[in-house]
Amino acid sequence: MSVTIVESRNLFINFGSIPVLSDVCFRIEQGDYVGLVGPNGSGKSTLIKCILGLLRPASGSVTLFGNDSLLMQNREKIGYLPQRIDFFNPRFPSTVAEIISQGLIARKRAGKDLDKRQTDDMLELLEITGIRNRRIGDLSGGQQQRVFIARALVNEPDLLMLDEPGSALDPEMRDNFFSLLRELNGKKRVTIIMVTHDIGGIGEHASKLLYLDKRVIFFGGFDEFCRSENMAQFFGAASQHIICHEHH
Amino acid sequence: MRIRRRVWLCVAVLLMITAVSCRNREDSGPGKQTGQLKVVASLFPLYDFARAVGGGNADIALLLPPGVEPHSFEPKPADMVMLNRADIFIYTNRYMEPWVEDLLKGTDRSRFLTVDASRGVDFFKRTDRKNADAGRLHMTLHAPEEGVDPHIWLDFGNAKMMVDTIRDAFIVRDPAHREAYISNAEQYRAKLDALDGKYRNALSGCRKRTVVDGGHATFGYLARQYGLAYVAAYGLSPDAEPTARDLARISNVLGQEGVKYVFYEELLTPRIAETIARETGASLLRLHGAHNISREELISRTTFLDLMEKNLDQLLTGLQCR
Amino acid sequence: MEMLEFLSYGFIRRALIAGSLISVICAILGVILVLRRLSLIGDGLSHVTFGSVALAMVLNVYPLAVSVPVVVVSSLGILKMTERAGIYGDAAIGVVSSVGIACGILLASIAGGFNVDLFSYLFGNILSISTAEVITAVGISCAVLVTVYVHFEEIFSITFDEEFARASGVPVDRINTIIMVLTAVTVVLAMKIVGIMLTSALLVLPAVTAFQNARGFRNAMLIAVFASLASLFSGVVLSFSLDLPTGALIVVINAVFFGIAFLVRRIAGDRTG
Repeated sequence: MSVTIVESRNLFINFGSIPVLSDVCFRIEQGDYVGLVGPNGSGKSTLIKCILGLLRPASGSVTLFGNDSLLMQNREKIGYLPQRIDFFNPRFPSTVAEIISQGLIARKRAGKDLDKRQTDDMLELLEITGIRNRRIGDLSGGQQQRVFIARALVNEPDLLMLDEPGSALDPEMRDNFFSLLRELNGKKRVTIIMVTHDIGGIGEHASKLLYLDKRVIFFGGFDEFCRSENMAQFFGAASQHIICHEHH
Repeated sequence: MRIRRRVWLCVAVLLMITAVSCRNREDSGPGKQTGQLKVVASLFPLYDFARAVGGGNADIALLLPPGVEPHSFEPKPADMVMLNRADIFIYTNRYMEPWVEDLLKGTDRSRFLTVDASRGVDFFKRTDRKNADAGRLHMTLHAPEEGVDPHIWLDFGNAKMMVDTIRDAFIVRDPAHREAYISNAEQYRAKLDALDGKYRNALSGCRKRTVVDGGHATFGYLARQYGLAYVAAYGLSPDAEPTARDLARISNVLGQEGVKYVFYEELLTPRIAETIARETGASLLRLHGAHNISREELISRTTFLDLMEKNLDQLLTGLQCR
Repeated sequence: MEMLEFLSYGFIRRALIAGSLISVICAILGVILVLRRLSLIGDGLSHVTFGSVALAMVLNVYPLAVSVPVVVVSSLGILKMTERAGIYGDAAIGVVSSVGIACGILLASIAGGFNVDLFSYLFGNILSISTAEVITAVGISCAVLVTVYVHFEEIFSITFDEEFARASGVPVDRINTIIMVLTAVTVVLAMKIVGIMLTSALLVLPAVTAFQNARGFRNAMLIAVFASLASLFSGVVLSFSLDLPTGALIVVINAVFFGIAFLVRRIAGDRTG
């Protein structure tokens, strides 16, 4: 029996009077690894924020673990990595350890305990154990990104929402990161939704594709995508081939 | 549509405020009767002296609205208008009303006679605390200009001179009523003499001879006249706050002299006086400097002489004279 | 001998007690406010306090009874403006601040001018704090300290990344409101020490001093508290021995601490390259 993690029904989101997302419908189940792709301004980050309950839809609904996203209480089930560009003030005198512990707030609110060894292992993998007491502003872009990844992962969420996670990482670290995700998704059935620009590369990891351009252009498994005539027409056969070539 | 309603609301509020502040100009307006000398006085003592000298032949207006502390007074357009309609404008002295300069600039000076009431007055320079004799306890803090004490009207000898100056100005502008003005001035001077005598007698046998003032240094002239030492928390300028050291020093004076009372002034919140009282266990008494009067005092038609009588009463208690 | 002497005065003791408490909470709140780009809120709200005192005079009511609600409403207004109207913090503060001063001037004119000693509102009157005011300072300081302590992680999270905090289920709006209310009340208190003109300094300077060298948010708060307390103590003591105005001296010493922190950072920075 598959558990619905995220379900969107006839979702419409406006900024003021400008429509950003129209009539978005999809259902993501436990264990899905969804690549959320689309051109700039297509509403990808907006959709993520709406799923997280950070935005109120104009009409329609999004449910998260069965609850309306605006009302959901069990936030410790979610790990979120925001898009780097907008939120971060590098002058903030915060240490790495303090930032990572932000990820644990939801868990503390739920009163759950944490397996410290698992946390340490994860930090080891991301190679940030050594910089725990460094100030965030003193780190390189790649190191900072790893800290935020750790913040998203640290409370062992059931759902991971990642907005362009790989952009600042160097290739070796990116490999580590993606294999970590694969392990989480494969062994622990963690559901992953990843916004990415790398439409070619995502095929290598994800099981499903959600293509957004202010509306849902396509949502489904990769095999389905690769066999679809519509998609061939829409993207052009060459693009479709690139994406599908990566996928197994 | 909601925006328009809000705009109207703002306009309505603004109109209300304007209406209220216009209405606020109370009874101190110059006389409506023709033939009366129109006089504007800057400070309450001048207003009261002018009233006494003018009698029924002059209508006196006080520039300061009731309850307003003279140092924070800002002349408004209505004040300029009032001045332009006057025959005589009396001010105390250039140290007391620095805003007179600006006020006069905005008016047509040829229309009214400007009277400096301090003509002939012997000004008292406050001594610097560094130069004070060991035995005398004058405290000077942050004095304006040359350290001149502007509160001349609190020496009743000076007050008599000011009455004469006012009388002379009235005679210049209104020679027809010369006799009345001379007679009125004479009567008022007699009252001032009586007051002076009363003070001299009453204050001669006081157990304590130091006046501790938790406000501004207003009563220098009065203290000098009657042989009292005078210590004030603030200087002559109203702006500078006493420092921690000043407060400590005043508290010590109270202790050293065995004085049990601290005086505070009219119209201003007596914060510092209260602090000193709290520190030393002294009691508070009010000394009215007569710069200006409150609305209640205006309604009850308090005069300068009334205020000075009350002051004497307070001094007798504070200096333990009874 | 000198030390013992100045402590023997009640007004000095009260200044130290109330002053310390107020310095501490200003330092703590200042760290939060500066990071949220609301550095001038102390300035803005103290201008509003000026207006509220004028209003109290017109209504013939005890000033604090009017000031606290008016300032609280204004601080929440600033919050709402930044959230809804999309105005940045500094502009919102500017709006509230200038309206506050202008209303104050108008109201003062209606009331016929200021009866109270305007100077003390502008520059503070730390030396004339009554016992009742000390108790008030204790009460408000405890409220601020307890609230910040209890909600520390959440406040930190909101300050660093409000969106992530919200996604974590932190009641962001509620806590923001609480912080604004606490700020408003703290500003009204801080005016007692340093007056309208200098309240901003008491909030901002310890924070920026801390940010020069702090390692971590907690660390920053501790340094800010220390700098603020040290400035207050030395300000009161030195104002006594040097016979200078207390409020202004406290602010100057705060600035000196900032200067020292800045130099330390420059020197240390050169070494690590």
